[in-house]
Amino acid sequence: MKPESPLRRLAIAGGLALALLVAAALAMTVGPGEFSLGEVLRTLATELGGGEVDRRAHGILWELRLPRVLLAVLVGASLGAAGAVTQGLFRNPLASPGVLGISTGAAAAVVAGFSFGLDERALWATPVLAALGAVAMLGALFGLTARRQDLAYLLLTGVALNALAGALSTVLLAIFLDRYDLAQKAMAWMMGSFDGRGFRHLSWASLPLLAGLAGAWSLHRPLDVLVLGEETAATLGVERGRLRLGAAVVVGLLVGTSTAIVGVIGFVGLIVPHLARAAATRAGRGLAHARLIPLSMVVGAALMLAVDTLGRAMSPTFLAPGALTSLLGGLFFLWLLRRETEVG
Amino acid sequence: MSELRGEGLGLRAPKSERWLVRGLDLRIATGAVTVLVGPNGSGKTTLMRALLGLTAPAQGRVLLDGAPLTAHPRRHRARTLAWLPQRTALPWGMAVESLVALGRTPHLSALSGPGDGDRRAVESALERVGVAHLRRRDARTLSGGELQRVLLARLLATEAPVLILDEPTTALDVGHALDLLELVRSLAHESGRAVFMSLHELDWARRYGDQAVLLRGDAEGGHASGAADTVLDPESLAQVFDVDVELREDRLRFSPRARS
Repeated sequence: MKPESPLRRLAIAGGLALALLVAAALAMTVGPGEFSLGEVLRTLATELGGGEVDRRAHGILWELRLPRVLLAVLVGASLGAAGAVTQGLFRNPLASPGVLGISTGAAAAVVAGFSFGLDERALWATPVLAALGAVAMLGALFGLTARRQDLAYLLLTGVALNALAGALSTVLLAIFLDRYDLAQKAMAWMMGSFDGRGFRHLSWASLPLLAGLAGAWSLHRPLDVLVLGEETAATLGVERGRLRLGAAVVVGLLVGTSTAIVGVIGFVGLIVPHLARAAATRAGRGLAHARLIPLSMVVGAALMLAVDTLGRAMSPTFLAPGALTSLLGGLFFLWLLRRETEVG
Repeated sequence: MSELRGEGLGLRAPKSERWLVRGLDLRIATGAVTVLVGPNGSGKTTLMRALLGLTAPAQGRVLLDGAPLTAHPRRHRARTLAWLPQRTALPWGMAVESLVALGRTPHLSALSGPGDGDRRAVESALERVGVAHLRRRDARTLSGGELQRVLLARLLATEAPVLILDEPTTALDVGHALDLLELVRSLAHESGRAVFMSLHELDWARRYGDQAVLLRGDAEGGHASGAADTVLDPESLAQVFDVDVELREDRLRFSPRARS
């Protein structure tokens, strides 16, 4: 163990956070309205200081873009962290909430909520349903992979669960197809986009997401021990049931809340921890989860910010971030699968 | 010093009514190597898993320092019993010293990171097993022999008084295997650990074992235990493994059983 000074660690973390803030501020300049970085910073500073800004800047920068950028950062960090936890839990670099059907399960639960009008009765119905959907899928995965844990079997189980949950959404939509408003709402939500997401979403989503992020980090030690295998980890005091329960709560909060806000954003949870891990391995060192998880948060936030900003830059052409990440992620997954099966 | 004992242990094959072992009493002696020998499928790994508390025995009980294993806190068990399984597949790259440092897990508190004592334990484990020069290597790039030594260093980093090793020499060539067995013996005789180790190589089991447990692998769950050269005598081995065995110059020689 190389003793690393807490100061150095703090400096790295601070530097990454600062870089992310600068990127977020830059992202706020993109889009209609022609705002410079200076104007963005001035507006934010004045607003935070309680001063008056002109109505146009207030409306576009403060009311529309700020919450959107914050949500992109938060959702990206959450999906990245959820990916790192899922991979660690299944000891599998190809596992992620998207690949294993956890995100699709969350989406199906939300569509079911739409169908029965639950989302109109209570604001919290959608995130709670999404979290339950995610946890149900995770439970099904635990049950179905209890006997075999090899790569192919886990992925095939994920394929089956993905298909089942997707079919459930489709069946519900088909049943309620004559209700035009419902179908439109569900489709718009399923595309996965930050359009029209604002402070209202931020207000109910930030608490569960921040709790989930803290929870994800708290699992770092047992996830490290798990590389030795579940039974050896048990002889080192890592209790499987407790770890699984903790991971289910964390993944439920992170994936459920994220999905409730922006719909299914595929593959972020797969790509992000992998990029972090690959960089560390190239540098000749493994990456402990104590660092992998925060790094996945930062990389995930940056990726989501980039995808959303690209989408806004191309406006008025609509580019769903979920579609873009799936496109990139799908190709990445194929490459990864090829590589993993060559080694293994 | 900690004492691990089994009392009247009865073990069944997973999802089967067949007895692997019945009525087994054993004591893993401190400062000695106890070898576990038996044909394939005779329940060696199952017995080890029961002693580690990974599976509950169908009959009898496992005692640690006179109290049932399950009565001890999880953390105490994790500090006392260390296990090297037959195979360890690493899902992704990891530096050797980080891998060895995982052995410190039962000693770490929930909030604080590893301290000086933990670093010293990892360092001395790396030195003892002779893998200190590999510390920065990615464990997935190691040869089978190197990886097995690194994993043994992981056990030593735990500083557990009881070591349970499941066929540690299986993946190794003869040179690396004998090196590892010498090391295991010195851990018992010089460092006072209690070692319980299963081995396929009967001759090595006889040479490196002080005590021995022989599982017969018959339908009744038969077994024998005692001093290694008494338990592993040519007649019992011939019967259990269905081969011809002779003992010449203190070495066991095997040949296929002559069929009529």
